[in-house]
Amino acid sequence: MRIAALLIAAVLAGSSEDERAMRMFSEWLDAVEQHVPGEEDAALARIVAWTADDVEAMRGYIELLSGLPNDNPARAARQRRISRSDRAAIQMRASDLRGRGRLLPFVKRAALLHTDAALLDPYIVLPAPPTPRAQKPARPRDEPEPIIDVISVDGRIESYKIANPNWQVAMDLLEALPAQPARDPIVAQWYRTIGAYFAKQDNRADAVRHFDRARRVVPDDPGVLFGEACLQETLGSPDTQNFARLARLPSGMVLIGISPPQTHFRRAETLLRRALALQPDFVEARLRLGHVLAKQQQHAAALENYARVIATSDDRVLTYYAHLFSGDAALALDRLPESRAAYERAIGSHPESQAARLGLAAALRAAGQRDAALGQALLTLTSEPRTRDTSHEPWWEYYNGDAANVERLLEDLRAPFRAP
Amino acid sequence: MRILVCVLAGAITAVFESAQPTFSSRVEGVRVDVLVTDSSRKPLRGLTPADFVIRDNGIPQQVDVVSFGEIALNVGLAFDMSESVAGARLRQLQSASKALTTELQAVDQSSLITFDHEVSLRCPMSRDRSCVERALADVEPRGLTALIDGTFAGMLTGESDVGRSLLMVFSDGFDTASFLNVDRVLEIGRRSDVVVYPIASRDARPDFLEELASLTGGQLHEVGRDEELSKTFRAILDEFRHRYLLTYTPTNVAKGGWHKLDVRVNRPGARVKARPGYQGE
Repeated sequence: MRIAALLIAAVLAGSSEDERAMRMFSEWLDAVEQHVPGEEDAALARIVAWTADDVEAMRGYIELLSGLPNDNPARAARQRRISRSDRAAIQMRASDLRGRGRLLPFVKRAALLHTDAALLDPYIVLPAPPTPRAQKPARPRDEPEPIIDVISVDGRIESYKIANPNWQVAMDLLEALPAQPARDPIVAQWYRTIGAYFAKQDNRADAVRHFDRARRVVPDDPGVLFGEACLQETLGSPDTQNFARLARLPSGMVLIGISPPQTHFRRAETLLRRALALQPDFVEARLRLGHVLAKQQQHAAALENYARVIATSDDRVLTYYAHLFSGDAALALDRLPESRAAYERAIGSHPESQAARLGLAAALRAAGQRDAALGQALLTLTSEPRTRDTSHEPWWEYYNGDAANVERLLEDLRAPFRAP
Repeated sequence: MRILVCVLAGAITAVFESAQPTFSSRVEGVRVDVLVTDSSRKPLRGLTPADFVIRDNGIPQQVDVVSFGEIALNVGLAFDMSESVAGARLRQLQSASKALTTELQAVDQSSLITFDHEVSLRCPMSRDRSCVERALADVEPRGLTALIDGTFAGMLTGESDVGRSLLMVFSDGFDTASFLNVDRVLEIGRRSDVVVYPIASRDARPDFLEELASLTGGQLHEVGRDEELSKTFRAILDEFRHRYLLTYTPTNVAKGGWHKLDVRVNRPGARVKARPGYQGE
């Protein structure tokens, strides 16, 4: 009797969960149709209101509808949890959309809906530091180690977070778009755009996962290769490296995704060379190739790339960077007059640049011109603090990589889906 | 690495009166700031040129002058004012700086540079004791940490042919925003007379500061996150004041390139701390 009662209770509970899931799925179908990408509308609000568990519960339903191959254990497990009748209903809905030629546009709209949900609330801050491993309850063997991200401010750990699961759903949906004969252009566009967004947010944890997946889905897009190269350059930067060296994480936690700086610079170099092979006139990739070569002490090769940027680009910020970095590369090669001239050209482009003034001062000091060096430094050191921003000193944003382009990229991504 | 030859006022007058063309006179000499302590780490006083042995690239040199305590100090302060310094740390810096400037003598000078991602000269090198206090009362920590840029600026503004130059660099973190390359700034440190004493949080300990201290003859001081700074600041000033300044004219060595220095004292138990070398101009 007792066993029978338990079974009935379990069946009732399962049935109730299925009903709730199908209600949410129906709500989701409406939200995809109604949401205007980029708008904070009621449809988006309904999805944003879902908890992380709700999103996880829906993933199997969404994967099934979008036709994502059931090709890994996690996906298989998610889809097994859907009842037979619900599975049939979802497949019927997918078939209907496909029959009307609406499935692929629907999947893209759904990806943008989940993108907007994640953009509204990019990550979930944990109320307390993670529990040390020894105190955690044992996990089943096949469950992966949980990934927790660290939020640091000026090198200090401020809090912990987990990624918003809507990012994963958006990526799932994009992966469901056919790979043959070629991926829909929106996939590469999305990966570059969201990569730029993560750069803007200094969100290196999500960016690493983002580009890990991009590599599988769109391996040969110059924009995506460039975005990942920017990330690799940032992971090799003193900011990230020093944090990795000194961060005191709670016991049981280890940093992932951060390698020695030269590893990141080599990866960035490879990615940028591939991007340039696909798109030889990609000037920003050329500039960054120069910079990562300089970071690997290949200063002469760096100077060649900077010279090509200066010769081919009329972009004020890119040419400023090329002159600025040329100043440092020439100084490293002990070509002091060349270094000085390069810094002077950078100052000509951005007269209030602190980096170029200090660089010029360093070149002059290296040449033994102490008073002239001090004179140059004083021109920047005595300017009124806090009156300058990145328009005066682009260097302060250099390691934000592709971030400068994010607003334009987001607009381009959404525009086709906003038209009436 | 140069000294100016002092010319007596009477001699200058004589030159002007004779209406002859005048020329500045400069001797290519080397100044070496040296800390000598006894076995209990207390400064050893009363040493004369005969007590010192200097080898420049292995060649023994004749020490011309030894000064102890009587030369004016140029005390440069370069403070991290990034976001992480806000609150208690800033208050400690304010009170430690006040304690430090109180200890300065009438002939000493001080200056203040602050750095977040922006580097600012708040007080030029001067005898105005109140400038540092006033400037620190006004700052509001923000932004990232341009430690290398700020330290370079501190070295540059502290260099002087007059007096002895100390640069105290405080940072509670690590570099997150500098443009200048570490190697380039360390190279300039080798060419500078400024002695760098960094004060860094024990849990940060930037390699750059440790190396710069070592090659300028200074010393890294590590402090705990909540540790008071006044005592450390005063101890550094006291130690620096009790250093010897040796000068010599390099003989039988090439002018340019890196010169390895070896400084010893002919006293039992004496410990010597000096820069390991200098870059010939």
